[in-house]
Amino acid sequence: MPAPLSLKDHLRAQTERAHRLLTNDLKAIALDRQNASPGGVARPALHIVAECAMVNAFIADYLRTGTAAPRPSPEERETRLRSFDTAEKALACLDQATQNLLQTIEALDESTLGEISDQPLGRPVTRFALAELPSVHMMYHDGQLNYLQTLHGDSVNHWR
Amino acid sequence: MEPTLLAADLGRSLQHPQDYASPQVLIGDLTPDQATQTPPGAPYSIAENVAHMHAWQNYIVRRVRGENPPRPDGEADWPKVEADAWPVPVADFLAGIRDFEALLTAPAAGALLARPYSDDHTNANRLLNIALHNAYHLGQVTLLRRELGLWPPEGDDEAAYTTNCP
Repeated sequence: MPAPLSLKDHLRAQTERAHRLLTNDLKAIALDRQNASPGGVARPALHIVAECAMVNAFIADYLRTGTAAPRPSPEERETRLRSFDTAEKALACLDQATQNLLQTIEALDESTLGEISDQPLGRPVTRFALAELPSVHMMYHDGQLNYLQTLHGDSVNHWR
Repeated sequence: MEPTLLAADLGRSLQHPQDYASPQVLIGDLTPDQATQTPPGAPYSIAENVAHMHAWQNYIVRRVRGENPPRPDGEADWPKVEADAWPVPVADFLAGIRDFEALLTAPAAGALLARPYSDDHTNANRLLNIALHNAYHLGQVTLLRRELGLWPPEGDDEAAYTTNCP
């Protein structure tokens, strides 16, 4: 009988997978389309990836320090997102934030994952839910990158 | 971590995601024509995304219950949905979330860490994967809504979720 997969193992595997898929899918979008807004209504792929990086950093920081960083205003957020105007910049930020998150998950005491905090999100959530949020968030947006790919005529699966 | 806490987190990630609008809000206000419209270049309509999510959610829920349902391959993976049929997949999908939640209430929550099949996955792994699968396709539903000029949905409360990321 194999050893049970621990919750930390699960969080690590889920985070690594979502990060890998998001990275592969951004790289698969042609350079001249990464910063485009299809139909003028969809967010550019670069902004999507940069936002994932910002969320990963925010959650890792809270889990590590117990203090939530101030949330940017909508204007500050948009300015920050627009600053990621190449895949290199967006992926560098995503890689660094995700590595920090993975190191933070590694350092978590599994017995504390059920502890509840209402600080970072403004409502009570467990540390497990906070640690899981970045991977769910990345998968939500990876679905959007794949959708943007199909709009550009690319129906290839780039996950492997 | 207690299975009951894990169960509560699983349930919340399905019904009230931390970082995007709930499934009910994202699909509950759509008319049949809106739900089955496929914008140029898009592979599937919102309705087909919902039917696809339901197919896999239902499959996993039944597996966790100990049943042996057929895998939703082929046409069962991506069922075609005509406008007059839209009430069925949306009702099935939302009911499936309630079925999922029923697996998370005591005493069933105690089975979350069990591994009833030979593929090394706990029941919790399976259910977490469904939460991820739903997140992936609900992200696409959001983009489809934006493309179709249906954003924001009725009853959307961005303050209720974290990252405001349509």
